[in-house]
Amino acid sequence: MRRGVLLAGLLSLCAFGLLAPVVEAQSRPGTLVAITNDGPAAGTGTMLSIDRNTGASSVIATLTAPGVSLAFSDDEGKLYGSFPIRDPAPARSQLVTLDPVTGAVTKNIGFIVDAGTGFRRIVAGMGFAADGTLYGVEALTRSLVTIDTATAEATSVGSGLGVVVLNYGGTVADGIFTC
Amino acid sequence: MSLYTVDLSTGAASLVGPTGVSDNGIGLALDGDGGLVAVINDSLYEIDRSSGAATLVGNTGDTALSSLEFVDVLHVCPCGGSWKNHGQYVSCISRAAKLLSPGERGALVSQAAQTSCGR
Repeated sequence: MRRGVLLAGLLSLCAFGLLAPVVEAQSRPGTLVAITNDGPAAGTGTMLSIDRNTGASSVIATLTAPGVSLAFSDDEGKLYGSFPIRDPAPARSQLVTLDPVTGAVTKNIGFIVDAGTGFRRIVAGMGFAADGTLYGVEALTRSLVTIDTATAEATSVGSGLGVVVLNYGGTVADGIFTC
Repeated sequence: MSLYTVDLSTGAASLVGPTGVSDNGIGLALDGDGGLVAVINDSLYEIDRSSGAATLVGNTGDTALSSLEFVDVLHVCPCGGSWKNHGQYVSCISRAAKLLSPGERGALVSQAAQTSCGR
């Protein structure tokens, strides 16, 4: 049993589903990258670099869709993104790879669906573990899932986070799911 | 808002502790030194892994942040990648280094040029 390999930030009664793999401390050349979800009305988002020392942001690119989650694969050197698709309903998540320099979508892998049933999944947060597995927090089932980066198929891990969470009417609101 | 760990085998969450920030949490990432950082609403925070406590770093100037991740430039352009030649490797580093500050960018590209990657 592996414990403490991922960290998830959860609201006091609510959860934000972003995961980060725990690795040994080592200075690496790179930058913090953030994305924004400007909401369904705007239908767009922005990719930003964040200064680690000051918090100041600089725009990298405007995205063609509002972003929800980013995860960088050290093994592949690829930046993965989860984007909410609300039209047509019902809402679902789309897994893509992004160029971290330009923000352009380099590959549309597909909608994230259950590996067994094909049912839609809404992934509010993603992160790679040290073994290269992509994990996500799934808002509909309020559970941890693994995500196949080749097919976008999700497989549940266990029976739930054990934290009561609520997803806003079937949509992911700014990558947050709350309880 | 509180910090939790998630057991990768069972999917169960365990409380670490409160961050001390009452606003909604948005994104969590490890920085280049392995430190845990988060964007919460419009600001960047350092997060203490053992207690969950958040320390303000600064304001990002954007209120719609939805995710945070660290992109390692050397992993975008791995030395052992399938490079046609050394120039292609250095070109990749030069492009990815646009994510860095001007000072860091120049130093990294200079270092890349002196490697044997792609040769």
